[in-house]
Amino acid sequence: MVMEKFLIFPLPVVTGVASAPTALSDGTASGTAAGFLVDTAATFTTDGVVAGDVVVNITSGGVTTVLATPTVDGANLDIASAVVDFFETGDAYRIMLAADANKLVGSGTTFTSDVSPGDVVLNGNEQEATVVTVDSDTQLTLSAPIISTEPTSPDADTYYIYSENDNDGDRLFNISGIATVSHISSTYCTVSYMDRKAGGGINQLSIYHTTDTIGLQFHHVLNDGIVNAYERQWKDVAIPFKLPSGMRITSIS
Amino acid sequence: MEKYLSIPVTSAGNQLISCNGIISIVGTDATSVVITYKSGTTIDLTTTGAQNVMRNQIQDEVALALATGWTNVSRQVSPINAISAVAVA
Repeated sequence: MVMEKFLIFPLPVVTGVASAPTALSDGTASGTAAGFLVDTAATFTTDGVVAGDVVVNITSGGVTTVLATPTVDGANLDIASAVVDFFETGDAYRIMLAADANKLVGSGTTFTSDVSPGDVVLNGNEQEATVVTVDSDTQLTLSAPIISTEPTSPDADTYYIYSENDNDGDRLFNISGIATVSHISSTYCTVSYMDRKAGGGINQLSIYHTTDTIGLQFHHVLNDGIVNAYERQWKDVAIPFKLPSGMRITSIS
Repeated sequence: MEKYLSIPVTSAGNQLISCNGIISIVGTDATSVVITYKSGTTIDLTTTGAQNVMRNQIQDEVALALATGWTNVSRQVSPINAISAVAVA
C-alpha cells in the first residue's frame, strides 16, 4: 500500500493585473498639516482633482476625501479627515475619482462565474478588501480602494482573489516523498522531493506567500503541517493547511 | 512511514530532512555531510567536523528516528556543531 498525504493549500481563484482604475493624481507627502495633504510638487488643479474625490494614504491604508476643490497647483489639499497627522512626511498617496475608487477592472476575466460577493481581494502591496458586487465579467466593486494602476510602486494593480465558495482555489499539495523544505526568503519556501524529474533534475516546488514579517513563521508552520499530517491515521489523506494569521499563499510553481 | 530529522540551520530555522530512502551519509570533507537518497537526490549539510563527529551524529539520529513508532514523524536534532546551510542537488 502506498500511503499518500496531501496538504490543502488555499490558492487564489483569479489572479491578474488590473487595467483600471487610474489615479487622478499621486505622489508623496512633503510635509504635514492637520486636515491637509501637503505636497508642494503636486499639480492637483491641473490633474482635475475636485471636492469629493477619494484620497488614499497608501502607506497607512487610511482613506478620506477631498473637502474643497483646489484652485492652485502646489497648495495644500483640504481633506475631510481631521485626524492629526493623517499624512506623515514621506507617506505615498493617490487620489481617485469617487466613482472609480473601489473598482477593480480586469482584462479577459470571467468574474461573473469565478467571483462572488464576500471573496477577498489582495493587491500586490498586500492590502486586502472584500468583493461587494460583481458588476460584470471585467469589473468588481470592492469594500476599499486598494486597486489602482498608479502609482506603479507600491504595486496596487496586481490582484489575487480568494474564495471560500464551492469554486474556491483549494489545491492539493503532495507531501509524500519530501526530502526537505527550505526557507528561501520572507516570501517563499521551496519543497524538494526525493524523486527526480524525468530529465534527472531536482523535483522542487516553490510556495510563494505574502511577506512573512515575523521571519520564519511560514516555514515553521509548513514544517509543522507536514509532520502533523503524517502523525494522523492513513485515511486522513488530505489535510487543510492552516496558514499563519494574516498570511496568504499567492502561487505555487 | 515518513520520518524526518528536524535540524536547526543558522538563520533558517528548523529544517526537515527526510530519513527515508537514504543510501549513504558521507562526510565528504571537513565541512560537508552529504546524504544521498536512492533517487540520486542529495542533501548537503554545511557544518564543521563533518568527516567524523557530524557524520556519525546524523547517522545515529537517522537510525533512532527510523526506530520510533509511526506517529513519531519528526525527531528534533541538537547538532554537536552548527549547521550553517542545507543544499539540495
